[in-house]
Amino acid sequence: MNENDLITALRHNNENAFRFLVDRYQKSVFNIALGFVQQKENAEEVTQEVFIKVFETIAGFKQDAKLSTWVYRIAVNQSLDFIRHTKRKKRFAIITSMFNKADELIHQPPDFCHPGVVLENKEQATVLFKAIAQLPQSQKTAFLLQKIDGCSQQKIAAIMQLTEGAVESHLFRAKATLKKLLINYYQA
Amino acid sequence: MKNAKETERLAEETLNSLDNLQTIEPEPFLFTRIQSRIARKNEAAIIQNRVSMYRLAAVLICILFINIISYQAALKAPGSKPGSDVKAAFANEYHLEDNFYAY
Repeated sequence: MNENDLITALRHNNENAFRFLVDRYQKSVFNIALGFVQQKENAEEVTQEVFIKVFETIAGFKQDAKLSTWVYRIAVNQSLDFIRHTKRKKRFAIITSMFNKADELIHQPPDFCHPGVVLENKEQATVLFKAIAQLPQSQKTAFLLQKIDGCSQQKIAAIMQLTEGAVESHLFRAKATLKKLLINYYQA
Repeated sequence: MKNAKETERLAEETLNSLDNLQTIEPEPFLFTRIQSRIARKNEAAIIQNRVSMYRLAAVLICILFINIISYQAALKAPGSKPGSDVKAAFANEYHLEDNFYAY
C-alpha cells in the first residue's frame, strides 16, 4: 500500500488501513515516547494517544510532509505534553507532601534504565537519561530523535519544522550541555 | 574525587552509552487497546452530547413555562384585556375606526 492510498483509506476510517499504520509505526513511536517520558507504562499510554490523535486528525493532514514525519511530529508533541502534565502533577505532589506525615516526597519516579541499552552501559545510560531530562525541549528532541531512532539531521529538521542548520546547532548545544551536566555529576 | 581527565573520560563514555541502543517492542495487542480507547472516547462524546441536549431542553421548557405563567397572570389582572392595546393601536394607525367612506 503506497502512502497516498494509505492516507485516503485512513480518511475513510478504514480499519485495515489504521491497523497497517499502527503496525508500521508503533515501534518507532513507542521508542520515541520511551526516550522522552522515561517510563515504559507511560510510553505505552503516549503511544496509544499518538495513534488516537492520528486517527482523529488525519482529515486535516495537508500532506506538506511525509506521513512518517507527521506521525513522528505528533509523537514528539504528545510526549512533550505528557512531560508538561507530569511536571504540573509533581508540583501539586510537592504541596500534598507538605501535609504528609512521612515528611518525604511521594510520587517520586525511580531512575530510568532503558531496556534497550547493552548490559555494560546500563549504569551510564541511567545517568545520561537523568541529564537528558534536564535539557531544554528543542535540544532534547533533536538529541533523542538522533540517538534513539537514528534520524538524520534532514529528517529531524522536517519533524521539528526547522532548518538543518538549526538542528545541527541544537544537537551541538545538547551535547555540550549534557557533557557539562555529566562532568558536574562525576565531580560531585 | 576524580581528576579532571578521568571525569572528562567518564562523561564522554556516558554520552556515548546510547550507541547501539536496541529498539523495544511495545506490549502486544496495542491496536486492540487503541480501538477500545477510541470506542470509549466516542461513547463519552455521545453521552456528553445527550447531556447537553437534555440541558438545552430543560432550559427551553423553563422559558416556555415562565411565558405561560406570565400570560395567565396578565389575563387574570383586573382591568386588563391582553391584546386590546395592540388592537386599538392597529385600528388607529389604519383609521379603521373612522367612518370615512360612509356617505
